Amino acid sequence: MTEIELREALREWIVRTSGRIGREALRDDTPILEQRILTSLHVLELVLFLEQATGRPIDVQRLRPGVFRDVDTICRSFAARPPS
Amino acid sequence: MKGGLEETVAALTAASRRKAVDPYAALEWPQTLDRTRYFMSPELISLYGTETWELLDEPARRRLSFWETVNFFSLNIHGERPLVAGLAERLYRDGSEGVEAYLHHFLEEENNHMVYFGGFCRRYAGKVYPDRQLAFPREYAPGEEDFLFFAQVLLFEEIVDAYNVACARDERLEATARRIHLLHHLDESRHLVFGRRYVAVLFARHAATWSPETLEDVRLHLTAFLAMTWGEYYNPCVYADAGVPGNAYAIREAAFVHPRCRDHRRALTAGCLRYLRETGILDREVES
Repeated sequence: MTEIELREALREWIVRTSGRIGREALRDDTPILEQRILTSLHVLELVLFLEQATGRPIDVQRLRPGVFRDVDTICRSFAARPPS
Repeated sequence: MKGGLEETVAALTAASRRKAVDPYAALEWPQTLDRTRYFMSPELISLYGTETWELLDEPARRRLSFWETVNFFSLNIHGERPLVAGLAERLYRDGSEGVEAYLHHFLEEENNHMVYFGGFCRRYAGKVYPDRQLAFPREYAPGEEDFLFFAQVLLFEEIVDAYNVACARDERLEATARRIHLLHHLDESRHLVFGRRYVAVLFARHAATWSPETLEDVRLHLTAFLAMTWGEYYNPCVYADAGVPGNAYAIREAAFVHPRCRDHRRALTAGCLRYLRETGILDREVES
C-alpha cells in the first residue's frame, strides 16, 4: 500500500471507527486524540489496521509520544518506505 | 448502601486472609506440557464456529488452543499491570477510606496472578504477547477517573472469569493450564463481588455531580472499553503462531463479526451488562 493509499484508507477508518466526525471535517492535520475523535481505547484496532495495511508488525511499547497525533503524523510514521 | 459496602469489604477481606495462596507453591511447573491436549475449551477459542475453524483438523485445533491460552494469559498480564498500579495509587487516598483493607488483598492477589500467567507464557511459549494498548493523559470530572478505573476492571474481570470457570471445569484440558484457571477464579470471584458493589457505590456518589455530557462520555467510554477488551481476544499473532492457514488479519476480522462469535460474546457479558443497566450506569443495550 502506497502512502497515498494508506492516507485514504486511514481517513476512512477513522471516520468509520470514531463516529464523532464526518469525512469532510477530518483534515490531515486534525488533532484526532486532542479532540477525542479517537481515544486510547481505539489504539488496539488502529495498530492492527496499520499492521495489516503496511504488512509490518508494530511494537506499541516503543512508539514515541505523539505518533498518533493526526493523519499526517501517522502516515509519515508508518507508511512503507521504498528501499534506498 | 455504605453499610453494605463496609460489610462486603469486611467479609471479602476475611475470606482473602483465610484463603491466601502462596503463588510459588500453588503450582508445579512440569518440564514440558502435553501439547496434544486442549489448553482452552474449544467452544471458547476465538475462531470456534467460523469457516476457518471448520477447516482445521483436530491436531490443528489443539495447537490453536495452546496459543489462544498464551494470548489469554498475556492479556491478563497486560490487564493486571495497570490494575496493580491503579490499586497502589488509590491506597490511603481521600475517598478510599473503608475499602483500603481489601485493596491490599486485591493488589496482592493480582500480583500473584501474574506469577501464574507469566510463568506459563515464559516457560512454555517463550514469550508474552505484546500489549497493544497505550494510555493517553486526559482531563476527568471529579470522581470520573476512579469510577472508570473500577468499572473497567469489573468488565475485564467478568469476561476473564467466565473463561476461568469454564476452563477450570473442563476435563479435556491440560492440567497446568486448568489449574491456573482455577487458581485465578478462586480470587476473581471475590474481586467481582467487590467490583460490582464498589462500582455502584462510586456511580451513586459521583454521577449526580456530572454534566449530561460527562455522563454520556462515561457510558460511551465503557462501551468502547468493552469492544476493545473483546478485540484483544482475536489476536492475529495467535493464528500465525498456530499455523492457521490464510491471512491472520483477515481471519481476525471475519471471526470478530461472525454471528457465532457475536453470540458467544453477548452470552458471556449479558449478566454484567444487565447489572450495569440495573444500577443506571448504562442506559441502553450495548453490543458485545
